Amino acid sequence: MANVVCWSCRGVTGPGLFCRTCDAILPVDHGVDFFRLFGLEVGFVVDRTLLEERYRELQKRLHPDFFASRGAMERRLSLEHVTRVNEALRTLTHPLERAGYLLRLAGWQEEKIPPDTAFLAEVMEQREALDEVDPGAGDAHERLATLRAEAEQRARAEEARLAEMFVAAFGADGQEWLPRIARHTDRLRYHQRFLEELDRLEDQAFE
Amino acid sequence: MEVLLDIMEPGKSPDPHQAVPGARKRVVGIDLGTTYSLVAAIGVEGQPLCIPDEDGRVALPSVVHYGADGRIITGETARDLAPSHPVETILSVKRYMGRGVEDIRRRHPMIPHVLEEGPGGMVRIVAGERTVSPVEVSSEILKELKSRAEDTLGGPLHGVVITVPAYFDDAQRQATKDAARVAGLEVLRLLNEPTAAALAYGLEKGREGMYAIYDLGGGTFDVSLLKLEKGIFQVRATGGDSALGGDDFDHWLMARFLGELGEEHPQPGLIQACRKLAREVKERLSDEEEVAYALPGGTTGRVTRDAFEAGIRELARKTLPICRRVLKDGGVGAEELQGVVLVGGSTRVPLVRRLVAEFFGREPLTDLDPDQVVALGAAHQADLLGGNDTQEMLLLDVTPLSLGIETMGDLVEKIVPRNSPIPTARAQDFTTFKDGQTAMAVHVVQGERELASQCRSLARFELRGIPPMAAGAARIRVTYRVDADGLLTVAAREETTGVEQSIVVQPSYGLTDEEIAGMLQEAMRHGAADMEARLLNEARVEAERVLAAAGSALRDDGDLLNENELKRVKALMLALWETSRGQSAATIDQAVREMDAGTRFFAQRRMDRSLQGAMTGRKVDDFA
Repeated sequence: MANVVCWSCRGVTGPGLFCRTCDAILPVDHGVDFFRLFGLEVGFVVDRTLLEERYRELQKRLHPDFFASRGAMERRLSLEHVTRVNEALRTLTHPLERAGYLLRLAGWQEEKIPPDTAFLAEVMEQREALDEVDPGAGDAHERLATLRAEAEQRARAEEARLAEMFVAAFGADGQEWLPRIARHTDRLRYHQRFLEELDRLEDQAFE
Repeated sequence: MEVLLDIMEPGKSPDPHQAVPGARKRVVGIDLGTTYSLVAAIGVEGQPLCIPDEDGRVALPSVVHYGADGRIITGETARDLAPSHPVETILSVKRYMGRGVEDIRRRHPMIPHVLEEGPGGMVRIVAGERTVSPVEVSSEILKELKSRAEDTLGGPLHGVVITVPAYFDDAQRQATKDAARVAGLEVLRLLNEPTAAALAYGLEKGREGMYAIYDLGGGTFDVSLLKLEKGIFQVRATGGDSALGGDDFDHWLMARFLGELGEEHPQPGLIQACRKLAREVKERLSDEEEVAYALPGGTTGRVTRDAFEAGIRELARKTLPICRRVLKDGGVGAEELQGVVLVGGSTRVPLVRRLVAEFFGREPLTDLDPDQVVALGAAHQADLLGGNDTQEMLLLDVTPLSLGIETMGDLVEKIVPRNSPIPTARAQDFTTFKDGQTAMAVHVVQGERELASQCRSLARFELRGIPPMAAGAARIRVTYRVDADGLLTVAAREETTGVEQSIVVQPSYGLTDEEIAGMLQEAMRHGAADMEARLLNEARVEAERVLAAAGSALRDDGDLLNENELKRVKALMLALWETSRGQSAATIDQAVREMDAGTRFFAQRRMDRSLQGAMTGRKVDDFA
């Protein structure tokens, strides 16, 4: 990473959040990916506890509240940093967003991969099972709970597959894995949407 | 951060200010409530305490009476004067803070006062001989608490922390600050009520981890999920319901009393008497299994706690789906919580406690008085700020409601989902709908409903100067930015030309906490109907898009079809057009699919032609 000139003291400073000479907050470096920003290893498996710990550390250093009495430049930079930190947290927290982000990092251009028909048939079947549930009926809670358990299991299994594939993708011949990963990311998206649908029905059944 | 840690673990490394007796500044926390207000300070042993009046009462009714002789009376005495002097006595002034006349008339059509419009559009209340602003009325309550605190602490106050609902907007916060200034108080900070409650538990008990704050007051319900850790208070999710509180429990008893009296059209005086009795009976039922009462006119009766609980169970249960959703939004299970904090007088009702305990799978924390916990937390914060004002407790907040944009067919595309940590920036790409479209309307809405007309409209503007292109060719990026104070900026930019428009929106301005909570409730209630309406709208929009694309395909490349083929395509178009005027989303979808299948050959031919370079194939995508 090339050295840059600090906007505040005009001194030379390296990469980082703050100038190593005058400690002024530096502009956001979009070349630093979300994993590096949080000091985490690039990969699909993320340690939630560590992620949140790093999040709090970054907030303690960068939050606009700490720059309220500083100049306009510093206030703006602090806001930009924390906006990005929040985006990074969201991306790294949700498996689906994380998978999409990793694919983009790996250079995958978002092409539409046609889903395999066997999987689509499965999805249709699950949808039908969901459509048959009447949220007002007495057995709705039970049926939704069963469907949720199954759907979550499918999502977890898909995530486990993705974790394995990402490990392979970061090894040799990584590019060959990307279309497969993209396909499985699409499958995870289906599971995610199904779970969201389930959320809505549960809200109604719970009323 | 060292000092913060000291405060999290009191006693280990005492703050120099606190180590020297007498060096502590006189600072207090004030819970300026709708029904009651309280003031608290850190006592000699380092514990926060609510300061009582001469009669030993800590809760001051938030009522101000303006006497004909110019005297101003607050508290219990003022409340007693309310029935006989309804016009000169102002109750629940908190609901009017930072609001305009129209706002209040729309929301509280039953208030007995004459309202006038004052400078800046803020309301003025005619109270007998005088005309007062909500700020002045609030300041009378603050003055009373101030003199109570100064008498007890033995000198003038150096500063106060005042609590406000999490959903209070800028105007309401500013009005609260103004009231403090009028009362001669220096505001160290305004603190959100759930945060204050969490602070009381976090600091008092040295607790860390994830807490749910369950706040059931007289008229509103609020639940927040907060993570307390090493000086950072992170709001994970919030939710609530405005039309739900202890007053609804009173209402059930009141209806029972009126039923026993056989009154179908009771006089206002009788209603007031029954309401007062209902509250007393409700409060006694928290401690007694059965309560005997005497109704106006001498009729007597008895009510058991079981009967009362059966009557209010459905009401109390309505808080649970909201808790459930907040947990879901916060991404935690009930078992991951370190505790559930009860706030608000209505959480004294044993049924409420049982339901909360059952739902969260643990006994709620009640070691701090639910009526006092907000004031106690505020006292802690005041002590912190007064003792060493360079120290900060960092509070990380979220957006309480989703922010979206209206798209075709009154639909809402959510851009910033509710409970997103702020500051945040989210962008979404849109495109033009018609060939040659040069402008796009941007309608910014807030809420959880599926249709734009059912959400709250925040702002509208138009992006003009889009160069004429085929439908779907323009790329318009709409970006929503919410800064750390909750201020929203919306920008729309056409990417190929760089044409840009932006607007600054105050997302919470003019939107009360009740409204926000009410909108969430509506969204849940109407979820199913919304979905249907949404699906139908989507299907219609899709049909319209397909028809428009087919029309322009025929115009450009109609010569690729022979007469029969042309007839078939036109027949399909007509069928789709007719179907799209019906009410069934499924039938419209089916017609779209038929149209798609029946015109695939045409799309294929157009594709071939464009590949041959005879024409650009830009619109093929639109059609196939």
